[in-house]
Amino acid sequence: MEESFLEFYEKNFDDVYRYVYFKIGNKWDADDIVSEIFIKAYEKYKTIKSNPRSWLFSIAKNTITDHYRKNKNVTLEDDLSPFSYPDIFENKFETEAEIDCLKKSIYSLPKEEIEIINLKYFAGMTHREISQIVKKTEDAVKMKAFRIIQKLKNLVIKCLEG
Amino acid sequence: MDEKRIEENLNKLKDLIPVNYQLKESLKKRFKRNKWTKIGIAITVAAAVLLMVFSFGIKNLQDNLITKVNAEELKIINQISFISLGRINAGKIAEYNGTIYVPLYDKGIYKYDNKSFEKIINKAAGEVAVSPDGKKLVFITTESDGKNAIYIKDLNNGKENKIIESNDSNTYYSDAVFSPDGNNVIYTEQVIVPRKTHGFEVKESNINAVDLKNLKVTKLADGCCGSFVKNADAIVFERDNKIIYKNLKDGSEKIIDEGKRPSVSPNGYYIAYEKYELKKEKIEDKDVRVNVNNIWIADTSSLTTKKQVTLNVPKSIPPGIPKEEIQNYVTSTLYTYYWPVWSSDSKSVFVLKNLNEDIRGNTMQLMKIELSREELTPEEVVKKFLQAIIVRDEDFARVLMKNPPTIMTVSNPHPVAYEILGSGTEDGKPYVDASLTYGYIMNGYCSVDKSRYYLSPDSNGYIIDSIKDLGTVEFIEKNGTFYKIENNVETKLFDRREIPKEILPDNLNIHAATLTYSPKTNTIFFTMQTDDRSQSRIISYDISHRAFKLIESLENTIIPDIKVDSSGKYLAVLAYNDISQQSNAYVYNLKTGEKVDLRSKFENTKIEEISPQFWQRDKLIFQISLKEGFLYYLYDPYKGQVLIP
Repeated sequence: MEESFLEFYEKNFDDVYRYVYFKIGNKWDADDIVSEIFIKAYEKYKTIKSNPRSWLFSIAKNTITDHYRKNKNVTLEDDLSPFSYPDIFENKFETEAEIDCLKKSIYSLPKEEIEIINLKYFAGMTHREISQIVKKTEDAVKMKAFRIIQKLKNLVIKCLEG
Repeated sequence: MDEKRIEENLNKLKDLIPVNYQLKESLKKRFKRNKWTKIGIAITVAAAVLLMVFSFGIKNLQDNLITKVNAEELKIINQISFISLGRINAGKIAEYNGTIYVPLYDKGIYKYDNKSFEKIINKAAGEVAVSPDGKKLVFITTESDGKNAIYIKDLNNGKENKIIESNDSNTYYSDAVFSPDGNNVIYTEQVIVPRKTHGFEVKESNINAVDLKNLKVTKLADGCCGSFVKNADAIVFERDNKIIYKNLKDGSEKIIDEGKRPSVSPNGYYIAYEKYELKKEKIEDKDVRVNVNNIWIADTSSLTTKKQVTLNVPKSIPPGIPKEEIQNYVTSTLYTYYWPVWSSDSKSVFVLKNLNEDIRGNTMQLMKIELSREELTPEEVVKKFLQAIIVRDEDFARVLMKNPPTIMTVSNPHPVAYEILGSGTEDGKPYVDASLTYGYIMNGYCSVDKSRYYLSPDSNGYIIDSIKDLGTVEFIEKNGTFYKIENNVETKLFDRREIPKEILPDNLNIHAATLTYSPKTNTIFFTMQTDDRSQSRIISYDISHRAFKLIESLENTIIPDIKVDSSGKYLAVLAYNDISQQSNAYVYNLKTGEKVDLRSKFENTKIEEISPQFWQRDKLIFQISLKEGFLYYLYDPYKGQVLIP
């Protein structure tokens, strides 16, 4: 690994934090989970051969699942959705209607699609990196991402029309 | 609307997810130092986004210079900060004569004064310090080649000079401050190297001084965070979580206390520092351990007396912790106070304050703690208390109360102004009568609560023992009719048809939007707006004389909020222009009709939003929102001046 852990940390902290915060919805848990993710990453960093970012986000994903398992006594991944994705965006005094509609539209998507939005747009990951996390081909992710955007567009238009 | 637009908006949304930069910094330091413990994980210092917040000093008390007394004899005369949304992430600040320098990490260093919030240094920096004459700044940055460097900026000619540069990217600098004579800069130099297997190791942590005349570097001690002590050949620094005083003549060292990041006051009398203590506390009837963090001050001369200057309270226990784990559970305090820095006059300590709770979008603040030898009088204690309630600074409000209640503040209706009505003694016990006005944004409602505050002597002067309700007056608008409600009796004041036609907009479809009341002049102020938002009127109604007066007529403007000052002479107005989508804050002189646009008071500052917050008696506290975050300012309508609080 050529990059030092601190450089890696510096580069990825914001993305991991946003990914976790968006998924968890509160700062309290987000802080703890993000700390835990980077401690795990720190301990194993030297053993990683390739794709450190995908690896980091896999840790993030698993840590969040563990968190829910511990705190909510749920075991099935599918049962997590009612607890995740609360509205976490900072409220500006007057939110633009369009942004507001986009927010609502995102929250109305199925959770796998929200996950892709989160990874691609909030955590800033490439299609290739996402494909390694969600265990799909890069092309499948690319196609999926494009379809989600089309779907969001339609939802936003509908929302704006009231 | 196309896909591209959706993607653009998704990127905008991304920026609305707050990142906890304080956590980022504190975790990074831990990785650097490689000192992980189980406790450390559980109580990771939290904080998200900063907003700038300041205390509101009382000028007459500020004039009372701190002369040399023991630290424990100093009284805290003010300690106010706001809770509000914000997006600024700040590092260690510096203050000189009312101007504050704020490093915003990758954004650079900003100057915050009464005219602007302006970037003055482009280089990324997490800390800044100012020279004793206020003419130079010292800051630390990382160069594009990864090397770390210390720079001095001359504020007169704007030149930036590199005084120290590392040989490699493993050498880090921090905690640079000027010596009291301004001829040296003391700083921490750490060599942090990767280990063979994993992790990092701090090979060295030196406190060095560089002579600014010849750039000669001298090592002064092992440790970090050093400051020179004025009029003494000595430094104060941190090593292994201890605050140490070192006599540079004979090399002797003395431990002052356990603590972190000491800062010596410019006059050399006091040391402010962070202290973390593991204490057993009872929270919700459960015995847990709390890592209590507070700011303390100690003397530099006797090194014997110390005083805690912040009051922190434990966080509540999150749900879902099994009973058997409670005994091992370690929680933190509601706030984290860190990076204490003295004001240039040595009378105040600035502290960064994070709220360790899930309050979305905001949590970091800058707080100013004013210190004095003088005690607060009963009246001043009540003023401070009401001010703390208005700005929702619960922790300071609690300091002023003997038995503080669990829940103290409400969100809407929220308090917007206070007035001291009188004071005296009852059975030998001092009391102060005061009113607190509540408002409701975008709603025709306003109430004034009168209360009597009983006080008893305390180490800071006085403390509030109990509060007696003296009654509430409410004003409400329902379907165009205005009522006053007192002692549950509703009296009609007037209805909309009684308002003179020449005052009202021509359009017939109108509604009342917002309402406030001045107890001093027994006048209500309200707005009427056409349903299509094209016309708005601000109108006053003098209840005693049953007289209406038009204060302002605005077009295509929505008025969500109006606030009258405690004298009833000035009215602050938040006005949104429906066409330009721009918010404006105006202050009207109710006698002369003169109108001041607060936006126009700023130079070189791109204001996104501006809004009046509350009247601190005759001065208006207002907020501006910039790309970088939110800031508070104070407007004195008598002098027509904007100041920083």
